[in-house]
Formats: sequence, C-alpha cells, structure tokens
Amino acid sequence: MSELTQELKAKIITQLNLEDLTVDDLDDHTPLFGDGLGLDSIDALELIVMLDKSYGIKLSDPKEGRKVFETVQTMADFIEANRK
Amino acid sequence: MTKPIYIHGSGCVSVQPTFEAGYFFDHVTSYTQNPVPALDPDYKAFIPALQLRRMNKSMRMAIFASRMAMQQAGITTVDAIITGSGLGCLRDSERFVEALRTDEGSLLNPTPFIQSTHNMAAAALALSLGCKGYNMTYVNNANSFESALLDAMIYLTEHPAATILLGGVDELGERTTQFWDLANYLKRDDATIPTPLIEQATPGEIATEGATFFVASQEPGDHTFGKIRAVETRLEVDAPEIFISGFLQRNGIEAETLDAVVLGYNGDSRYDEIYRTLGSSLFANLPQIAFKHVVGEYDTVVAAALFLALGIFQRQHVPQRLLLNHSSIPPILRRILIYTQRRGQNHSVILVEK
Repeated sequence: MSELTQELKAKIITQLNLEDLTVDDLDDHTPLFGDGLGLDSIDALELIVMLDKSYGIKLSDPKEGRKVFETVQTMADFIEANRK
Repeated sequence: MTKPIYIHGSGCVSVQPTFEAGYFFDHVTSYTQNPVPALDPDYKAFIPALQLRRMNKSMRMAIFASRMAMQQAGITTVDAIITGSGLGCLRDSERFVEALRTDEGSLLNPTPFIQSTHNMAAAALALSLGCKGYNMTYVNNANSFESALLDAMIYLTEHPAATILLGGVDELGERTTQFWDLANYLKRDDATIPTPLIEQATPGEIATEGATFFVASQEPGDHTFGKIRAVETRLEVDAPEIFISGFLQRNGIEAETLDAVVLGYNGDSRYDEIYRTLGSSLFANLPQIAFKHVVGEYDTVVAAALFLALGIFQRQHVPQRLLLNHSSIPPILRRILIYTQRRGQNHSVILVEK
C-alpha cells in the first residue's frame, strides 16, 4: 500500500503541476481539496482521467469522487479495491 | 479615422533579459541553438503559486509582461484587453492533439483542452485582473499583433476615456518546431543569436518566443513615453517600397523626416534582401536598426520592436549592437518607423512618435 501511495503522490504532483511540492511534502492524510492542498474542480477532472489512464478505473458517479479524492490514502484504498 | 494612441507602460519577456530593470540591449545574451526558449523571469512576483502551476508559458509570459507594463504606468485595472497571437498556446494545443491521437478521442486531460485556444492568454489576464470589459484576441499569422494594435486604435477612438492592455504573445511548441524544420524554415548548423546579418546571413530563421504588452489610452499622461500614430498591414506586396511610401504619404510624412527606421532583419538570406533594398533606397540616409537578430523570430515579435522604439524615445539612445549602418543619429529621436515581414508575407508598418 505504501508503494502505491508514494506512486500516487508522484503522479498527482506531475499531473497537476504542483511544482513546489515533493512526494515527501505530501502527507497520506492531507485533504486534497478545500483547506488542505486547495485543489479545484479542474484538478478533480484531471484525477478522474488519471485513475482511468493509469489504473483502468472509471469513476462515473461524481458523489463517489468526493469520497475517493478526499486524501491520497482514500485514493489508494479505492484503487486497491477496484484495480483491474 | 482612428486617432493616435499613447503608451504609458511596457513590459517584455524574450530570449534577452528585457524584463530586468534598466536592461536595454546594450548587452546581449548569446545562444547557439534553434529554437531558443524565452528566459523565465520570477513569475511568482506577479502570479500566485496556485494559479501559476496550471498556466502554460504563453499565459505566464503574458501576465508577467502586462503586469510590468501596468506597474510602469502606475495602474491596477484596465477597461479592455486586446492581444495578438499567431499560434496561441501551442504546447497545450500539441498535448491535446497528441492525447486525441494516442487515446483515440477518449481520456482527454481537461487542462490542455481548456488552454489550447489562442485567446487563453487574454482570458487569463482578464481573470487575474478581474477585467470584465472588451476582451479580444487576433490570430493573423505574423500580423497578429498589428491587427490587435489596429483594433486598439479603433477601440480607443470609440472609447476615449478607456485605458487598455495591448500585447502580443507566442510560445514555442516542440512538434510545430519539428514541422518548421522539415519545411526548411529554420537555421540548423549555423544557428546563433546574435544572428549574423546582411553579407553573413544564411537561409533560415531562429525560432523563439516571447510576450510584449503595453498600457495604452487616447490621452497623454504623466508616464507617457510615446504614441503610435498609425499602422498598416498587407498580406502580400509587389513592391515594399511603394507600400511604405504610400503609408508615409497617407500620414503626410516624408521619409527624410523619420529619425530612424527599425527593420525586421532576421538573418534569413532568402528574405532579408527585402530590407537591404529598402536600406539602400527609401531609407538610405536614415539610421537603420535591427532587433530580430537578438530576440529571434515569432509571429508577434514586432511588439518587441515597438518596445524597443519606445525605449529609444525614453532613453534617447540607440544600442550600438542593434545599429546596422553609420548614418548619424539625430540629437533628439522623435519619430521611428517600424517595418517587418515574415517569409516574404505579412508586411506591416507602424509609425511611432515621442
């Protein structure tokens, strides 16, 4: 799981151009949206594309996305449970 | 009939440190490569980190150059934003098309899609300034900035109380540069900046990128350092001398009353002959100034020539590195004509006065 969270952090930083962050700066439990990392709706779309491209997981229900994208850890849990 | 517009501030990002305080082409950064990306100023001085991360280079350069211009003019808001861009946000366009090709139309990342349009720089400027006024981008090859300039003159004639941002921006794209290379547009082994001109010129141009922005209005003010009196463009001309003479005549000016002329020599021996012919006829007795040999070639590079002309007025000094001939420089420089073309097309003349 730790390997997956590290991999996810690297992908998030690259995909969302979080130039000032390194993998070590990003905690597994930091909220990605709102007061945490401060991501926005376009970032959410980028993360949906990333899940599909990198892990073959399609996220069609926006309500589901709210929970899945809460933190790096929740994303990793979701990927582990749904990876094809 | 349009009226002259006054320029109160300017900012330029290019392959030279034109964004540094006090810089004015007396020292020139050299390159031996093609293409040459623009130098990156400290974008964070004007753009919050969270916004910066999603901006492509066009948007970054445009916002930085426009904020420089606004800072110089001493203003924080504008009524309208008018830009020109020959190829728009090229890198995101390429990313978007590449994703379209490799993923067969599915799984497209939203950011390159949103930012692949030509008007993204003007839109980003409007968002960053909270400007809900007129916002227009002209896409007209190497006359894109001139088209924006003409619209700025019309807009300010119709809105005499307005203050606007006017600018040109273009960025390099990896794939597009490869296509240009295949089309033999670019120099290869002998690619250098400063680019050798006239007798030393060789076929091809040096592809670069940049953004130049101006704060303009219909009235002079405390910060004014020049005015643009007229602009004209032609896609093709049979004889540039007749086109330029006609332009001067329409503006009631004799060539002898110009204090200097800025010409678009870029070191491409296939097209620089156009400037040489003019330099030995219509402009034979005038100081001739080049600029593309130090800032390279892109569709809206003429905006950098305007930046240069206004800087010459402000400093009353022509950098030696840019001077092409030995005609004596008048003690006071008040009137400069800019003439450029690209690959034998998109000719333009801009008349600038102090």
